[in-house]
Amino acid sequence: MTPAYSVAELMATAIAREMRDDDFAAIGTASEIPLCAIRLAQKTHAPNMWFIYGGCGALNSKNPKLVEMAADFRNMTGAEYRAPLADLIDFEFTGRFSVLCFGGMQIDRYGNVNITNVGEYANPKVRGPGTIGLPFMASVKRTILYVQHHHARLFVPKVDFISGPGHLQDPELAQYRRPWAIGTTLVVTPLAILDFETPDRRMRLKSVHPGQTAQSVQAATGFELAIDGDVPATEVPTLEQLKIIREEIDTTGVLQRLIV
Amino acid sequence: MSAQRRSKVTSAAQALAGIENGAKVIAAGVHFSNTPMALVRELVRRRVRDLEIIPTPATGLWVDMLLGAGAIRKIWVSYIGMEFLGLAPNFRRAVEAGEIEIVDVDEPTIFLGLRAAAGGLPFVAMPPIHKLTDLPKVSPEVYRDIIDPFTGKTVIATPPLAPDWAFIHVAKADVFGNGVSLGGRHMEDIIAKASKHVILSAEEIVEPGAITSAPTHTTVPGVLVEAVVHARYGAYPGSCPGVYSYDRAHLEEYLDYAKDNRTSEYLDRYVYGSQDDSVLLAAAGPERLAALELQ
Repeated sequence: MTPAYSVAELMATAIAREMRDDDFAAIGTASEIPLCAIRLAQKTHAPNMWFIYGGCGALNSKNPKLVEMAADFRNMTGAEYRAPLADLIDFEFTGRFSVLCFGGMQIDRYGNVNITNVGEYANPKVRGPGTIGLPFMASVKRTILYVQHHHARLFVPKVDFISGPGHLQDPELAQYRRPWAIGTTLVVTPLAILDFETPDRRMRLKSVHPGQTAQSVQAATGFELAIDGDVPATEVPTLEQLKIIREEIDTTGVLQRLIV
Repeated sequence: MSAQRRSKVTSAAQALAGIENGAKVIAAGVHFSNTPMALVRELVRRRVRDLEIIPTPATGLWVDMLLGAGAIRKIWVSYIGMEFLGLAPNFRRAVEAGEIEIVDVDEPTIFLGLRAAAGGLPFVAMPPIHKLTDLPKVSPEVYRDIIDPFTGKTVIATPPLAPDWAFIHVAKADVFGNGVSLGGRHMEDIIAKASKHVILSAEEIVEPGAITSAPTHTTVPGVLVEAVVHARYGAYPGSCPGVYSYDRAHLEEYLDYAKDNRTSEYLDRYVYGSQDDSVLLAAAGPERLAALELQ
């Protein structure tokens, strides 16, 4: 029997699978999904991983509620340390953070991310909040992108502003990336999971969520995805995973309502 | 009898009296947490103009409100938004209409710029990761290529950021300006060292003995503080760590006004309508405020 799960819970289990026992992760604004993913990983296959919840600075928060504000002091519940901003910046520049989770207003075929402005810079159609920590995509080991929507205005051929750098096409620029930075390894959306396992690091459709097809995901994407043969279905959350999520991590059911 | 130490406690109006048009201002806090909103509202009441805003790397409400009050000329931007409530309406409108000067930067550029000012460093050198982004193209005055004299490699230099005025909110302070944030230290010490004038607002003014009995808990040392303002609910409608949570309904009310480009009506109702926050807090009402308190 397939358990009833929400899309956000499915996304969280997909991100959890990417977390490793030796990871040190950082998450920030609007992070209910990656937060749930990291805590699920800690409770299952990655008990030794660490994470910092930016904003409040909590190291290994154990708050049994997914709160909407990253800076919420209640995220200090069960935490082991309060990291000041200086620590986050040091860990980001030096690659001590092995994985960062980000979203964006635009993502392109090479995984460049824009959260600064849509349209011409001098005359923007939509002014976003700003670049914040996205340049660190060039100095942490891995980046996982997650978005709560999947449509052609978000997945564009080329971002209007590079806030966070994706896989480089200009070899001249490679010298500026920190040598340990692998770049974006995964993009998780409400429709599908994408990666960059292609010779030229273009975005590839890795799996489609139940109810989706390669064609439906391609139709919602503003550029041509790399598609290798039959695309598998995304693994759905198990009963055991859902039990841990709902009884220990997201006890108020935020992920059951987040994406409708 | 030993000599008396001077109390720094004063009113918000008195503390902010020296802020002039064109001043560079920073308010501490992250998103809706520990942002010194009582001091920001007093700044709105002063009707100063042409402010240069150096925000913390992740914030929004206070900048958006000052934009709605017509008080801002220039903003350094890392993240100006409403976090879980979306984009900052006045910020979005002002930038899209080209009404204000913005300098697009990011989290480390603001943090390290303040750090440089705090320590009197001439500039900061960073690994050249920004060369992989569009920031140097749009903010060339902030991202300068230099040669690392020790390795010969290209690195990026970025300038110090030195605010004229800093506002910091804490849960407790003594009359000498020693402040305690119950949410721990984020970067308030660095903000205080980087700024010429530091105004501390506190939920509660405590006896000096409450500070000296646990001096390792002090997050802002009074030696850096010019004035102390007693501001109960001084971070409202945001949260004050360890004291109260944010008022989501009031944040949404602000956003309703701001999205409709009616921020001046919000300000007339809640800010200009009184000499302090009494009208605002009366509108919230004791029951709603009590419900926000930490259980």
